[in-house]
Amino acid sequence: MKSIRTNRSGLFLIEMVIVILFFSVTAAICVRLFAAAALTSRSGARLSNAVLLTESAAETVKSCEGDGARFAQLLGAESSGDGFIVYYDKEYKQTSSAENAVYSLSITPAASADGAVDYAVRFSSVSDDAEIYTVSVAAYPGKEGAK
Amino acid sequence: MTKNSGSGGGSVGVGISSVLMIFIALCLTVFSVLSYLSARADYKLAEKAASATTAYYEADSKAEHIYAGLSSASANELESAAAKYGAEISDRDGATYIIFDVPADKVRTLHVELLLQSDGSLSREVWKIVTSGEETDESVGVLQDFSFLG
Repeated sequence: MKSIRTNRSGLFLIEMVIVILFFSVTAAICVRLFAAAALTSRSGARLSNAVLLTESAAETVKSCEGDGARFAQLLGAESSGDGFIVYYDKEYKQTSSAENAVYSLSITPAASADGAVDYAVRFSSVSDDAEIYTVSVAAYPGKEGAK
Repeated sequence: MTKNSGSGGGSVGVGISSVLMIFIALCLTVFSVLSYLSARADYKLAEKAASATTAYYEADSKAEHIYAGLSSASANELESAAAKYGAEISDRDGATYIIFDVPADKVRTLHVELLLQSDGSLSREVWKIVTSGEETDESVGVLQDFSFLG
């Protein structure tokens, strides 16, 4: 009777060890997968928002036919070096101060010989200046405007 | 491991709880894989949207430069300027149009028609993306990358 009990305890112990090992391995995989999913999801959302805000700024630049003062006013952009900059917080809401900013959208002009002006519209994170999305847009103010 | 059928009376053995635990663990794994695949699909979609936007603005920039180049040409030089940019001059309803296409990607083309005004300037009449009838690749390739598992 005693030997049967000992045998059962041994089996129970072995089973528990196997189950705990299996659960540990599965939990490790699950944690890794959930972490990767969260990171990927965050990157996707960031890229989507970056494309949306960059596209919006690019269209504003085009609609103003390269009139810097006009599109800066429409976008609420600040002057920065030879271009303009707009700051966004972590919720992608425009913010006036650079201190609260998590992302920035810079619009830098580069004049070309034919009268059309190329603008580099760049969405990046403020902390490490890592580029998230960039698009180059050209605006031609027409024959009269180009003169 | 097995059901205790002793006279002590019908207690369930540890085997059942182990099986249940394994089932729960498998369910967790399946859900985590599905959540990763869903996130990955969203990311791929965002990347596709980004590359489509980039392609559109590249074509749009080229078209703006062609428009600028054609506008800067005088009336006498217009024909040679149109030939230089691969544009064609077409007379329609008594008006002169300069027509050109800039490919954005495999299936989309930016179609531009500029109207020659009486004062020699050009105005935009058509500036639109035209999609060809070819089938586009709708797959997002969610099963391509599992490198994160090491």
